[in-house]
Amino acid sequence: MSASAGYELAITAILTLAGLGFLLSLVLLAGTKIFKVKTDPRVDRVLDLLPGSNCGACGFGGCNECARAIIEEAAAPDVCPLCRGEAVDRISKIAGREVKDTSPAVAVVLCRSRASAPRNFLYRGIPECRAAAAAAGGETACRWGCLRYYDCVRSCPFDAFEIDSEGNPVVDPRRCRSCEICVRACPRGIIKMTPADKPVEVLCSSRDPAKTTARACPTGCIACGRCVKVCPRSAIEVKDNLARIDPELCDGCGRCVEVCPRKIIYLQGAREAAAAGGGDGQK
Amino acid sequence: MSRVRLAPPFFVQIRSGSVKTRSFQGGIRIDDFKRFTERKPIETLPPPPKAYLPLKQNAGSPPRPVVEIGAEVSAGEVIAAPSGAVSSTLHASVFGKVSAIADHPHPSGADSPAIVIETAAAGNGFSGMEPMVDWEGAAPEDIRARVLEAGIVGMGGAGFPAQVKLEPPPGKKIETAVINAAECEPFLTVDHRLLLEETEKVVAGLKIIMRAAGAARGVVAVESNKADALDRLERALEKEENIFTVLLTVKYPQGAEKQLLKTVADREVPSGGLPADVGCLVHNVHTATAIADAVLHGRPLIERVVTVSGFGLDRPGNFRVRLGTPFSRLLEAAGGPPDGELRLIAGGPMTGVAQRDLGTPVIKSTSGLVVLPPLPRARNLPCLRCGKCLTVCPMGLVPCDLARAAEKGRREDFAGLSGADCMECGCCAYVCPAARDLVQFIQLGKALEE
Repeated sequence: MSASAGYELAITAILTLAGLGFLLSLVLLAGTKIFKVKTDPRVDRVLDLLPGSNCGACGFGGCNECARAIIEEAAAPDVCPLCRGEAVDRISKIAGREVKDTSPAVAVVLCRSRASAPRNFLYRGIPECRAAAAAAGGETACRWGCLRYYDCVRSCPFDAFEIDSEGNPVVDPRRCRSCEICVRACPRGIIKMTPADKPVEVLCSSRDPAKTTARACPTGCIACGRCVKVCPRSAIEVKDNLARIDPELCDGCGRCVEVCPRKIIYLQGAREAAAAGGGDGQK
Repeated sequence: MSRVRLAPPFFVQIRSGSVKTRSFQGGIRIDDFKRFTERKPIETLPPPPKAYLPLKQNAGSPPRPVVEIGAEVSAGEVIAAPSGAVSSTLHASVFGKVSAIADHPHPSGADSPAIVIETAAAGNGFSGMEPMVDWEGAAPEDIRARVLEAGIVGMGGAGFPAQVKLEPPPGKKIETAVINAAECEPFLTVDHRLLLEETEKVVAGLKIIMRAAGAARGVVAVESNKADALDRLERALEKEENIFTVLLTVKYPQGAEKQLLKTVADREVPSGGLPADVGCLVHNVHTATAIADAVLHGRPLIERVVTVSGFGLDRPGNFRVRLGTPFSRLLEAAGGPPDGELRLIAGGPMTGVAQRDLGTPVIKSTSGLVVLPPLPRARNLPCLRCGKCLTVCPMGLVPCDLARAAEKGRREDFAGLSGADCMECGCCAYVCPAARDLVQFIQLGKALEE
């Protein structure tokens, strides 16, 4: 075999492959033009701003779905409960929609009893609130209060609950992401969403008359009305044997906290301190 | 206080001689603990000073009160009338005055509205119904009407209105009426004592049931630990051509309706079906005596026999009490509850309900009161996947997986495992080495499905 025959072979091979490559690249180019999938680039930009934890608290199947819903289905830019502040501003800018300035909500367990609170009997079944609530109406003498089997604590995807020294589940408002999963988990329905900036809350849910409540719980609201009298803005009302504070009217002066004989009115600041391990006899 | 010895061999089967007994698949062989009370004759207790009569004493809709507070009532007078197709009648169980209609602890656990009657200090007013002398010629409808009028419900524990069961569903025929005298729950000896002491009445009740349901054949099914009762029964049945006895193995839950029919008739009641689907009808012994009382003597259901048994009682026994008698009086009659923490179960220990208040009254379906030591604290450990629960499940279910589906709230899985077929007999929870509350989990699962 001569040397020139070798060159010819090499050149043929190179040209064939180069030609083939060029032709196939044309096919691919045509393919991308014909089968182009139209995506909104904004979806990707929103997705970058979402937390990416796929917790589902927004109600959609993960962050990807949520981003698409915000851009394509006109979901509210602040639908993700984990996004706050700047992230929401940027998402609403991308989506081109204004978001109303709403203060975030946090969960509050409306019961703050003592470990020594009376019980009707000893329950030894499945250690879950939903099971305990079904057994003869629950073992706690108070038929409204926390059963203390902590379905809420286990249900929380953000680990926002603390258990205080008396065994009460307490929400740390800084960690609460308003997903409301605990609200649904509580069989007694005593977890409520309240505005995070709402200063004061009465931590009791008993609608029984004062006599019954006083017998059933050392810290139940006995509807004495002292908080009502002391409130300078008339924000407190006793209804169904239970004091309730109107968040619209309350300015957080804290006078009711001082006069409450059962010590169950808590300031938001005190709540945060309690969750952080601060004073007020809490852990 | 007397000390009670716990028999050690829990899983030993008690067979009576060489007699061949019959049984079903699954279930557990446990000590029946009948020895505490099986030889104690039925003792009648005086009426309580106050009778608490919950309206809810039957499955289905509770009856509607027809008396006012302050009304004078005699024992046997109607105080609440049926309020629907599946309902019953409720009678005053004592002679006295209606003092309240208010919430009171109910054996099922939660509070429930009850009619409270203060017993009169003197006098003995009783108002019954006319005896049906010619019941053998009476129309089945008339007998069923009488059973409803007398407020009779299933007295074995379920409390299903008896007249509803006595009526064959449209398009179905009842061939065999079975008297369930298995009494498979440990401790309880009500049916045993009734078979011994009121044999004739049980037989009469069965014949009335056969007449009312149009059944040609009658069967009395007895577990082999009641051999003396069976002897007496067979003597009473010598002249009867259509009534048979069946000897059952001592095994729990031998007296569950579906298991009983599988044993007695070798027929399987379909899932979600009724005994009538296999041409049968099952009534408890005490229900039969109540029906006999109502038809032959015109006596409405105002009293029943309750076994009070368990550990630490000085005088366990079988007591005939008026409905509405608080549990505390029964415990006093049995020598008082032992000191310290204990469990008081209304019904048998396997299917009964733990009680929280000694003021809770006896209702039509309260077959027993059992005192048990408290449960150990270490419970609900992780499932070991040992499979014991599925070998004992008489319904052929997989309790561990059902419990898991219920625990995790997986409704479709629970339905796919036929959770609704569970009759909550408690065999699975009894054998579980991880002490899991399987029945309670399955109850949660059933609540999920609703």
